[in-house]
Amino acid sequence: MQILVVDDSKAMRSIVMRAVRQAGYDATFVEASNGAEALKVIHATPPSLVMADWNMPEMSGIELLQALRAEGNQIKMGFVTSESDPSMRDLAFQSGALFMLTKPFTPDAIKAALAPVLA
Amino acid sequence: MSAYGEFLPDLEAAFQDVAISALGQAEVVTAQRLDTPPPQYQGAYLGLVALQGALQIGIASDEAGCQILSKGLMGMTDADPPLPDGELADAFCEIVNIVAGGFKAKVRERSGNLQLGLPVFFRGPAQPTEHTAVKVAVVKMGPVSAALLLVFPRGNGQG
Repeated sequence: MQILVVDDSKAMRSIVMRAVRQAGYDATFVEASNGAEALKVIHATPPSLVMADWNMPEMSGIELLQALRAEGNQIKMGFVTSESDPSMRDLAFQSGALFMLTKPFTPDAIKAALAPVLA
Repeated sequence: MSAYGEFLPDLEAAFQDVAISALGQAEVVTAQRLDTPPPQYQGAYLGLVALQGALQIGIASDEAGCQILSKGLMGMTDADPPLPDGELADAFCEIVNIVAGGFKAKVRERSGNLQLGLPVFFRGPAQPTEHTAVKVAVVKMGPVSAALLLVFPRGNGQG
């Protein structure tokens, strides 16, 4: 299973990848630092899952999701973000997100978010 | 909408949540509140913008404090080697980003619809102008001292 982790913070990408491993998933990872970069990665080698931040330069996480859905790409995607605004959660799920995990998160929260997605 | 200057306790609470849950700190105590930024600190700022106005939050500490908090975020200990400048700035900006998300949630009912910007790392104190005001909470976490800064337009929070 390959997971694309999209965050403009290298530190946070490392934290997310470590948390996924700690949650017990045997995954390999690819990384991108914004939505535009992620879109190129997805077009080249589609991963099993995209875990993206919301606020990023160039292309945000929600713009990435909407761009994917606009081109008919139904890749699994969820957010790992410091945002917890209900209106943003609504927008995320209406746009096709599978989870919205708020930073800081625990390994248990990662497990709970990923279990139904990767079952 | 509330005056932005009243949001300092919310910033303190948001930082405390993150420090204890994600930075490896056992306790956060507010030591003092100031109206001027402390000198010789480094850290990160992040802007929050609403139709009604804008403010910035900042978190600053000395080099050792920034190292401890950033390593805490990364799951590292004091015994680990110091983070290089670029990695320190990246991790510290992420701390501010996470705190900003918690802060935004705490003030949501009073602030209007704040949008988070992107964090930027700085060295040295914020310099308020005639148009801006600063409110500061100095917090202690064991040996670490940090300043939580709220920067906002004068006339919005000056009481």
